[in-house]
Amino acid sequence: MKENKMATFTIFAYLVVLIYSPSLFFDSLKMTSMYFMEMLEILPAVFIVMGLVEVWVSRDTIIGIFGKGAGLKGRLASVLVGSFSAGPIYAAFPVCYTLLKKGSSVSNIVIILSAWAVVKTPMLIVEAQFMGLSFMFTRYIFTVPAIILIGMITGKVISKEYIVKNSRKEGLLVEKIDQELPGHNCGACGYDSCHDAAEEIAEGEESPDVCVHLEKEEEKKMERLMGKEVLEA
Amino acid sequence: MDVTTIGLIVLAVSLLIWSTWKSKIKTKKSLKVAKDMFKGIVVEVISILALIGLFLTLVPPETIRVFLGDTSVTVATLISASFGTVTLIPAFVAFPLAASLVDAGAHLVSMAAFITTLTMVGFITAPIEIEYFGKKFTFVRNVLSFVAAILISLGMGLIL
Repeated sequence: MKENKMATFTIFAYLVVLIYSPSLFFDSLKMTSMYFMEMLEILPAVFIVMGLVEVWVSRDTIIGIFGKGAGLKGRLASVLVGSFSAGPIYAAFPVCYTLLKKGSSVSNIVIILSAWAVVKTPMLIVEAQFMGLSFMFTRYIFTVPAIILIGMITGKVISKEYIVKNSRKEGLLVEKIDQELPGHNCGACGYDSCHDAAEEIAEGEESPDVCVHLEKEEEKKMERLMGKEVLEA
Repeated sequence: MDVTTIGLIVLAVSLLIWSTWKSKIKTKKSLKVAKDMFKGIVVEVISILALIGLFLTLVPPETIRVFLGDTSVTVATLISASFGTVTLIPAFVAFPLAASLVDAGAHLVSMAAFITTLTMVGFITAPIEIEYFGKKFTFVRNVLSFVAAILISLGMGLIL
């Protein structure tokens, strides 16, 4: 829904510009296609790597590297991951979301996001070329502690529970689980409706086998939706 | 294409080959995860890229020069930081621009603020960020990053 709103708004804006000034319209399209190519170079590769991480890397490994207990090492690892990234910040959102789901702490997610944005290696190279080495180094030396601090403060203010509750991506998961449930709203699981049960299952508060109508096959499918089988692997 | 992008693609392909060799089923699963991730973001990203393209055509980054004029460093820093906040420009456009602004008389401090907010604070990417992490997270992170950008640039002013 939200996506369509955004797309509709963009198309509307372009139509207005087209009527007002066709040359501006085509200039904008040209500019957009440049960004679009950049996206095509980066997003598929980033997502393939993240898909592999999701399937192959265990939750415990991620918790060990980026979890709450990882301390200073975790913060430095986060700066490092962000530094060796490619692509604009919007590519970092799904990556960080995956890591968060797999056990990274909120503060380390923010550090990765920020490092991805401001101190990634290709950017530093271009920066040194145009602004000079001393500008680049000074900015780097101030920025790294700053983004670690931003991460720590955000981690204090925002809980992981908040993100899980408010992320619309998790909302999608609830809908997917809901579709797997029979939809009789029989109440045998103790919840008023199948959707209520789906919410609990998505948050990990309840196991899929709470539903008496589900076949083993469907339970498995649901666990796959939640990426559970990775835990067992 | 820069070195990191090529490195990233090489990494993705070699991991994919390794994964296929280890387990075809797991590889299929991970490709499905990747596909879902892509599907979950692609419409929104294209819309936002198109909006950025439109915005930068209507308000070219060079306009910032008009605003910088004869103002003091503090005001120029705030203006640059704000301009960086509303737009999203790739590094290969932003740095040449910043360098030309310095040549034209802009202070290094304000350019540091410009570059930091440009990349770290994003009005235009906020809808995607909210989708993944919620409103409060997006607000807190962006406000903190904006403040940090100002502090970083002022700190740099003491040294450079």
